[in-house]
Amino acid sequence: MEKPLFLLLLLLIPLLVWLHSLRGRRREVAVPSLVIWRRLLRNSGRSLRFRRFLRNLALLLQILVVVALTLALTDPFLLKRSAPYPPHIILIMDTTASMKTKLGSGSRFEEAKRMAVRAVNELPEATRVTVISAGSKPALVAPYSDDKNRVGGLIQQLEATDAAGYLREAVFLGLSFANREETTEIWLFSDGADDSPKDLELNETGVRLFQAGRQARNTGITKFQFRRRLDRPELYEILVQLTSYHAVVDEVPLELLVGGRSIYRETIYLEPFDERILIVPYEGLRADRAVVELKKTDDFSVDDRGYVVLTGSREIQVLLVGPGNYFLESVLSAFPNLHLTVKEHYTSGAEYDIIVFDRVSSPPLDFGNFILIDTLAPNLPWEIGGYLDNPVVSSWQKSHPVLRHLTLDDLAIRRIKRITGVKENQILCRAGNHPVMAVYEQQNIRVLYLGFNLLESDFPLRVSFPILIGNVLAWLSPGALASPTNQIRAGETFSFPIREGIRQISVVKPNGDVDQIEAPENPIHYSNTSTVGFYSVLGAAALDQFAVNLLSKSESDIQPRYQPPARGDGGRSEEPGFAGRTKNYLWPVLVVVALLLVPAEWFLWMRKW
Amino acid sequence: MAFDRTLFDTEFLQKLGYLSLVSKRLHRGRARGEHLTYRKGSSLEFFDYRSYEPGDDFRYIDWSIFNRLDRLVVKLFAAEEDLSIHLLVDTSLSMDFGEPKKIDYARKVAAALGYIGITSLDRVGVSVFSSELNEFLPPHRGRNQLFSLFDALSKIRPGGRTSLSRSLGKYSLQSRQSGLVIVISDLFDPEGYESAIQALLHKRYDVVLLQILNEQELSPTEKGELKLVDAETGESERFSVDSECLLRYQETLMSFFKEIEQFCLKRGVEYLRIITSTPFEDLILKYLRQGMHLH
Repeated sequence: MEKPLFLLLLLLIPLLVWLHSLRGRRREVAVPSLVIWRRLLRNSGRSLRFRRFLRNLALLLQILVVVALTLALTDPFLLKRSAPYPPHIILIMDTTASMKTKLGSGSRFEEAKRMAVRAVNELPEATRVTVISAGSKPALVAPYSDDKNRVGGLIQQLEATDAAGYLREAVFLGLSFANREETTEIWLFSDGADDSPKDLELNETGVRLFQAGRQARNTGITKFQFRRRLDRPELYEILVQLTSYHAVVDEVPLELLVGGRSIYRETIYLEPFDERILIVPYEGLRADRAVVELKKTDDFSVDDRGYVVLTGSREIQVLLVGPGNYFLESVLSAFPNLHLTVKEHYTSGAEYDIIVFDRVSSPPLDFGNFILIDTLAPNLPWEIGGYLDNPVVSSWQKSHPVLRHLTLDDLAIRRIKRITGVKENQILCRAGNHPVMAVYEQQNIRVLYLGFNLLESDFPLRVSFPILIGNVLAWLSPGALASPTNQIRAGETFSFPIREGIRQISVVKPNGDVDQIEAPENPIHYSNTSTVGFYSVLGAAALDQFAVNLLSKSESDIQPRYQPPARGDGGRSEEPGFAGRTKNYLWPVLVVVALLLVPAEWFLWMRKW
Repeated sequence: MAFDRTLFDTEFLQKLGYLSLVSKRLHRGRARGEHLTYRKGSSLEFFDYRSYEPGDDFRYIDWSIFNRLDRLVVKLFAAEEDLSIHLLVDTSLSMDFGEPKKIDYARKVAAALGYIGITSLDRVGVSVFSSELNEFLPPHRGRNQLFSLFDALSKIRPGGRTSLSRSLGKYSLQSRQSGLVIVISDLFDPEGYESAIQALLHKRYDVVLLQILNEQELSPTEKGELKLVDAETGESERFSVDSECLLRYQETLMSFFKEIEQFCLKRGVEYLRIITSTPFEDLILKYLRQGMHLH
């Protein structure tokens, strides 16, 4: 029953009875004697009582009509399984951050788990269940199991993450498990705060949504950045964006802390569904933690705090060894977080991230990132076999990170070194059969080779030149140029370089859990970032901490976007707690009953007595 | 002696004269005042024998039987009396009903029968009753009795409940002259009419039962949700009256009549059912043609 207020219409029944009593008031008729009438009662009493009942039947039918119409207005329904259970159920649990929204005394995710376990327990013995968790990336939890207790236990162990996600990928993963030869249903337990259910057109894809969510209030942090000022790169500023996701004016006290010390406080007023951006200049230490916090309570707490690591002092150390190259020095100096050191002779390079050898002999290279310009290292498996004058660039790998977004057409070069021993996949750019540019990568070494003197070509004068240098720096030191902060969104993979020789590092998560990483690759790609907060990297890594935030406008919008069809959907929409069953609305039956009763009542009412 | 001429107007009295003439023609040849009763008396008409008992008149001993049977028996002779006509009129409230009212019709019938009886030199008396026996005019002969009769009938006022058994039982005890009892009533007595008739028969009355009804009682037409109120007792019954109910009422009424007819037939009681819409003179003529009492 969805609209119980309509039950008040039952108060019409006393009115009907009263009206009936007015109509049925008996006329007094004097008779000489009741002797015969009483004999009649004795002989035919039962028949007369039945006729009296018929007389009152009109009232009874009127009451039934009122009751039927009132019940129809209250929208009563019966729960019914519309079709037999299929042999295979793919159960998708939405573990995205919005599932952490408060719902009653628990959360949406707890409600979804309760519904899912109940639904699994109601399944027949032979039905197999596949469980998929749908967080930032879909993951298989239990494949093809008919052990309902085990499946229920695995569902109970699931936890909602702080990450944004897209249910679409999880549904596609689920569909990939569907066996074409048997009927499969996909049960999606979600709050519907995602566009995916709507996009998927549930009725057509055979996906059944079990919705565990209702309207809720949220104001959250959707951007939090520590960045250089564009006008004065030596200065920094902190940017905070707040977004309201409900239809009331909100008053949000905000506090910004760096290193645990409050540096800014303000109360922000937000109109319904409003966005506000706050920029706070910062001139302090650039190796600390910053936290922005909303001092309020709403239904969704994940986006009430933002985290950022201030890493403004982190710069790429570059050593340029050579007789001097104006163009090269100018380009390298242009990068804001790059520190360039120029030397004529190479002595030591351990403290440099990148070493450039320009037209000077290179020592044997065993560890690090190098750029060799018109020279070769003696330990590289390549040999110089003379020179080629006026080479014409015939092709280059446009998709390689080093050559991305630039062109080498009509590049004028006086001559290039002829080198041999270069493998085909190492050549980036060639003139005929001769490499013009090549890369060399081994376990601890990464080298870019340019086979010509920059000063004997027009390359430094071309737009492609600074692009090439930028690409090379990014390729040799990934991420170093992108941002002065170490910050990602929850669920994303964070990549960071480590120093050579390190065999084990530890990552301490915000909740205190520690992930041990043995024999790491360089760089490390760390993806266990489902919780917002600060992550500490231990073990002599080049990086010591990074921050994880939600910072997702779509995930902070916790209002369910998908409204299941109200009725008559043939069993594809579900209500919380009614797993596997559909609502059969009774109002059409009640209306038909009322329509049938009305002529019967009319007949009795109009009958001449 | 004055009586209510609105009830017994000239036309009515003319009809009575006519009825008297007709009755004489129908019963011509019978001597006036010669109504034998089965009471023992001193007439010459032998009635029966019985054993002699000390004190009996020796003159009535049948000596021939004594010679043959050596037993003393005395002869009994039927008493020769004038006929006494007792008109008993029901004046309960149920009689004050219908158009014309049953009580008026009963009054006229009683007056007509009394007139015929008096003009036939019979003794005629009238009593009215409801729950009790009320007015009592003993049977007498003569023209003065006619006026007394009309006066008594004109003074009748309906009232009270019907109790045939009590009132007629009382009459049977009170009256010393047997004869013909004509009970004029609607017989709507919740306690029944049987015991009353039995009491009269026990006192050796010849009983004539005239049941007076009106059209509304025979064929009621009211339908709907009715509260039927008893005119005598004020009691009520609720009925949902429709055609079916009225049909059942008719059946019940016919069954009631049938019971009365059976009762009267078994006990030699003459029974006549009258509807007030029937002209009273037609009733009298029918009565006389059917050979009922009076002569």
